[in-house]
Amino acid sequence: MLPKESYDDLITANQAVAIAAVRAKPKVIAVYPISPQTPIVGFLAQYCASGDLDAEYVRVESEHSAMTVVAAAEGTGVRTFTSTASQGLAYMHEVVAATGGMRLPVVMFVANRTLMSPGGIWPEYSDVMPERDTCWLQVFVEDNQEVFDMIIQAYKIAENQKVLLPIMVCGDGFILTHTADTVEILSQRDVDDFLPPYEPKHAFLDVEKPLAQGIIVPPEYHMEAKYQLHQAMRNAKKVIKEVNDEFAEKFDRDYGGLIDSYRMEDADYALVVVGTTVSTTRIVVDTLREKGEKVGLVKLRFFRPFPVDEIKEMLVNIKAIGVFDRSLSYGSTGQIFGEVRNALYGETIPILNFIAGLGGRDIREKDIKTMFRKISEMNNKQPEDPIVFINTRGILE
Amino acid sequence: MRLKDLEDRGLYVSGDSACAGCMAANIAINIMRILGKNTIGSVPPSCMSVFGSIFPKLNWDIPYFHMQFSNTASTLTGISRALKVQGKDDIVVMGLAGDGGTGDIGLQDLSAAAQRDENILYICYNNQAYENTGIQASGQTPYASWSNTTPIINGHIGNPNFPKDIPRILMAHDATYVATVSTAYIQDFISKIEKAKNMKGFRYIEALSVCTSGWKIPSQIGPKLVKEAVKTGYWILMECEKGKLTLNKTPEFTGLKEFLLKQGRFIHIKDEEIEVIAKHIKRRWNIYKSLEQANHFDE
Repeated sequence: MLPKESYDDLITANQAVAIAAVRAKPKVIAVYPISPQTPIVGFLAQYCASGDLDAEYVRVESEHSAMTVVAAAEGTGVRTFTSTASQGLAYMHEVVAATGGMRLPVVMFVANRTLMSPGGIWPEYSDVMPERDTCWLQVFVEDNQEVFDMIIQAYKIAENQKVLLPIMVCGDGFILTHTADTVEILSQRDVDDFLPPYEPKHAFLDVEKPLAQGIIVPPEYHMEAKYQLHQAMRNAKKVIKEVNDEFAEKFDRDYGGLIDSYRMEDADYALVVVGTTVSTTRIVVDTLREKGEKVGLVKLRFFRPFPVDEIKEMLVNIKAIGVFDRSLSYGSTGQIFGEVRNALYGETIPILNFIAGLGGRDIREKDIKTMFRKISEMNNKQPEDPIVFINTRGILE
Repeated sequence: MRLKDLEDRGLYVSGDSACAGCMAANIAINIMRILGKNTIGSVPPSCMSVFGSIFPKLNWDIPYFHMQFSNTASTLTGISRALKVQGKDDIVVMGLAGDGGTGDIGLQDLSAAAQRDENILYICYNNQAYENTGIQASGQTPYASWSNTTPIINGHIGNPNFPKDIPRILMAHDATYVATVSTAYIQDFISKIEKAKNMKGFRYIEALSVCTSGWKIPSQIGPKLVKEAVKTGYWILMECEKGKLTLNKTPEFTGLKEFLLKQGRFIHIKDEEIEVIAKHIKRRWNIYKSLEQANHFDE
């Protein structure tokens, strides 16, 4: 049995996810194995069997069914949990979209992995990017502690009456999921206090009060429903900050809400980074600062809703900006770059888009240094093509 | 429960937009007369989701959940498990899906739900084609019948394949309850729906449903056809309860040609193709008969 009290443990992100789920007390879990999230499937089965978690564990036959089961259970009024990666997320796509549209506050962990082809099991964000328009909140995390903390916060954000939207917590496959790090597991009492039991006040299936969910809505009524989805996404920005602040107040870990930053106070050059690459970039920022270079980083946490105002405020006085993308919208740019440049519309700050780490290629300190060097050499000029492939054979750096 | 004991009006209420003579609407009406208020329903995309549930018009006076085409059994599973943790597992969780949604795109999760013995009642209204999208052949479309994807041109005879036998597939899962019904045998229909209502575990009932536009028939002959289907052996009335199979009606094996030729989808059919269908009917009956004789395997 897991201790009920607070304790520190050396665990992988996959185990941190499973223990966070135990602390959040979902009532229905449906998961299907896919690398690199498979250990979660096993951990949760064990925690349900051991009595650590009192939940219905459904051994579904596919990710499509995993998302269906949790969505339908959530629609029946109970808290749920699932996790997946890559092809599994793509396979459940139509149900992912339905879940967002039905305002079902499902929490899902995604172990980011490349989407074929070419095939691969290593980290990339090409799995979650295609889901950005399905009305799910999307948050990227940096380390195992943030994974644990964010799963707990995710329920509180998703279930807020002003939000009522599902959320995917995105963590780099293998780099996080299979790497052990010290995690402080909050006590059950503290989590219960922060995250009370789920009591749906909105629509759910109840024979005493029959209503329908998910039905066909003709053009006469359709736009209003979609408008409300957009409003809920907008409302989420405030709720994310509130939940972050409450968590920081209680547990002394402040993740900044929508975005975070490092040594940006007087920075001339900044990189916008996500996921585990943030940690590598921190080290590079320190190294370059020691040499007197005024560099900083912006850690993008939430991709949906996208923190337009926060990004603009953070970057408006920077001399040149680099945006890191671990995925690419072929024929356009990296998805995060597109959003950042959009947020900076009207500004003339030179900006580059660094495509790195695709298919799990290592992102080394020297790669981050190359990124900083490239933006510091821009001489106040916008490039003709903003895209720069990093550590790619045949591409000169 | 006898027919005369049923409420005239059930919780599938009047005012749907089904075609005149649609037997699927008839099936939904009768199911809801039997199941009553303590039911949660789900219908995937199909004729029924279009004619019975377009906002703000809804013909289901019960909690109703609409998901995708392929995941009715998993949808019911999620609802059923959530009710269980809420201590409400006396509620009947009922799905009503077409033959394509059941036997083709929905077969994977149906199989999984049967294998896990989920506490759900899955009803298939089998009209033997994708009728909602404009009559394309499904895995349940009969041999030699016309559809938009099995045309009768250039020597083609219509559908070259035989329909899948979903009840037999589910019997191979050792499903808790598997049955077939025809609204023409209404007392048998009532008994089976009522039995399934009061059972726990995975229950599957398949109802023969006539589609006037897909079968190309006048709107008033559906009830007659679902009766003749049983008499000819084209539709077998069976139930398999916890592995014990019962054949409820022995066919007369007569009148097949007349039955087929009443339907525009078979109007082109030649005697040799009718002979193939007759053989297939006989073979299928013999298989079921031998399975019925194997009931003692449990003892």
